[in-house]
Amino acid sequence: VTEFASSDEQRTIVEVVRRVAREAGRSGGAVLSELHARGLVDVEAAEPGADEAGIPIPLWTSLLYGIAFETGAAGEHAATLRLLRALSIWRTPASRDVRSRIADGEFIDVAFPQIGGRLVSGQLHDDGSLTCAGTLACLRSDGSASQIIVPVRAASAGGILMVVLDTGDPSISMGLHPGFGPHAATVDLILDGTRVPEARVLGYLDPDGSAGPGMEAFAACELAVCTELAAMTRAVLDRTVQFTKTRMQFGRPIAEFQAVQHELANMALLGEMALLSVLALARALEESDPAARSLVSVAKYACGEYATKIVEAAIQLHGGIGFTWEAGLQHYLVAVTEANRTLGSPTWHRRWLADSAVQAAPEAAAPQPLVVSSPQSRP
Amino acid sequence: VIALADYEKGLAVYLRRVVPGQWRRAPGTITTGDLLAFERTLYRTEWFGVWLPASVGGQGLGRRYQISFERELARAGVPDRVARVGQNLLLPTLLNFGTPSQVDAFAAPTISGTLLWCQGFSETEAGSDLAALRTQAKKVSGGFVVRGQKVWTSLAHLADFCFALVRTQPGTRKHGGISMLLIDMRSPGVEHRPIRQIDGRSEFAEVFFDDVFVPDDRILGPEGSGWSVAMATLQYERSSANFARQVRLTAELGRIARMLGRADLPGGLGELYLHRLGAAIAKARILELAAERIAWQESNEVPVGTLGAMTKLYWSEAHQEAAAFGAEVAHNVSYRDPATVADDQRYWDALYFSSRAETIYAGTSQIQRNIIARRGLGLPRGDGPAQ
Repeated sequence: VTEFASSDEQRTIVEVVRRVAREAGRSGGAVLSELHARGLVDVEAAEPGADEAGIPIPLWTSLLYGIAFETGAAGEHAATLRLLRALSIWRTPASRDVRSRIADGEFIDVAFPQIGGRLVSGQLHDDGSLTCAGTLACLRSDGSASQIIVPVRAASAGGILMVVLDTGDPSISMGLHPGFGPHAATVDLILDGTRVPEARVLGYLDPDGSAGPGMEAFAACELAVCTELAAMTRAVLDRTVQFTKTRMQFGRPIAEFQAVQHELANMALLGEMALLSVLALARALEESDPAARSLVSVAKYACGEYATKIVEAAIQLHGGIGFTWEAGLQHYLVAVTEANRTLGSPTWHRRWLADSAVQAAPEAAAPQPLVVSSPQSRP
Repeated sequence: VIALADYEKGLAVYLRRVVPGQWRRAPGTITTGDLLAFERTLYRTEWFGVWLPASVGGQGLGRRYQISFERELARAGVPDRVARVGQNLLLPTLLNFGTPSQVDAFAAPTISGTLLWCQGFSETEAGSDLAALRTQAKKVSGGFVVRGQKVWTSLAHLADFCFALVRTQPGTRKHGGISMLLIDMRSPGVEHRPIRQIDGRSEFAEVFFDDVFVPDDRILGPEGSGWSVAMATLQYERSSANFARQVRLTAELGRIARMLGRADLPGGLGELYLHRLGAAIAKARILELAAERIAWQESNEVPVGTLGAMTKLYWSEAHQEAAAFGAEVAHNVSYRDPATVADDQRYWDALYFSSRAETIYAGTSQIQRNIIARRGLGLPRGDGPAQ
């Protein structure tokens, strides 16, 4: 874990978070309120006009890393934690309100969009309010939140609007589905002409832009998801190395077999490469580096793709107890799958990288004029 | 001291002025003579070697500058440099282990590219199991007499000197009794024969030492400690020396992006190619991050650990994938100008075939995985040998 943190302070935070997460079970919310009570995290809204830098990135990523390492990040409140940085980028009254509610320990759930997937559509009115309709899949929690943050696609606005809804609103209904793996259930939200006043609009997520608060908010959420993925790859690798050193077959630990060693080496390699991409993204966002947007796609591609491979390899190396719930890998497989379905998938992100490369290629638009001095050239 | 951004900008401007346009369009047409002449001019400019220590004429600006240097060269279309073996492998080893008079004799001409080197490590019976090497160096008055054979020696036909691993203590086995000798390739008894490679070229050679006399002052590091000297060299080969190749990948993917940007592709092929390109770009960017990370660790005296092995493994596999991909695209696109198509096809075919060496040299992928597993993850020795 220490490889993640670049300072002693970060290392300490990761360790404290891991301990609290172990004690608090799998609930991200319990970790958050515990840390808040200890004064380690301050998510409260600053006074209007005051500096709203928000939760510092090293602190926040250490927090996310520690929880995901320990719990697989699948618990409720995980989504709320992912939104913390974006909330301080959106300097709206709705954002301030949400932050103070989170600080008071209120459970506010977030439905992140799968880019390119189904979204609630919103009609924007002259007074800035929205009328929303549609179905939104998959809240990970049990639907007990008092408020839910939902992505809305409004035709007249670029990017994805994030709005806060009261779950008690009569125009909102929920459909509960049996979950898979360790999830008891997933929740579909059905919005039927839900009216959202402007004061409940948090801000934009802009996956296509290269700059601006919408892009920064999007990048921050992706950083959170990638940090969790990197933490889970490390946790799963550590467990698997330990397991192979103790699991005896053919009279010796299976870690002695080169076939097993090379699989573990591949896992370590991919985990390290994913980690490098997350660290670079975190640094780019801290320094407002214009390279941040492309690093988002590099990191999400690498973290998503590699975390999946690593967890799958871990299950393979654990054998039967990897497939059953005995080794506890189910939490990680579900969490990695869920993280890959949050915001852009690894496939979406690699397509984005290719598009921007082709557009940036100097001779893309028209073939370069041929050089006269070349003997093969023609006009 | 020049800021990194200014250095990059200035170097890019210089290279735009001096690199022939033909190199970019048709890298297959570059001759070794042209490349070497270009290199020797480049090494005399202010742009080269600022990362080297002041004792050998550098400014000690650190590895970040070396990465930028390699990146700008790759962007400008300069191929793998002929002097790279000496500058990237021998030079750091020399500065680390050489006596003051060895540094005096060899550093400056290596830096200026007037003295070219080859690496005499592998033998027919000592590939991945390098410690099985058998070339003997018998102690005689004033020096050693070397007898044996090296194989798969890159650029032996151009090299003035060879840094070779030999057994200076008779009867020793494995890691003990090995020394590194700096052997003049023009000494009597040295012979090299080119080996035909899978890509049709003959950059590799067999090198024969038939009672070659090497004076005492040409031993690098203490006698019998050649194994640890060689491990340091391999560490450079897996880290710093790889920067050029890592940053080159990004430039090569730019070529694929250009092909796709101007190509007429049948059906949904373009879409499939874009997905492959995107994955390759992500890997190339991560390789640059790994190079920067290694540079940072080296400058801050944090051990590179297994990150060198990881980076070599990741790069070689990513680069082979990219080369195969580029070759496929080059043979499936059609643009208006057939000469451009032919140039692209030649370039990518050559790269695809030559890239097959990359998972073999400087420690095979299997050896890199052993290193990651045993040194990185602390896994026990079992049914395979350690490296």
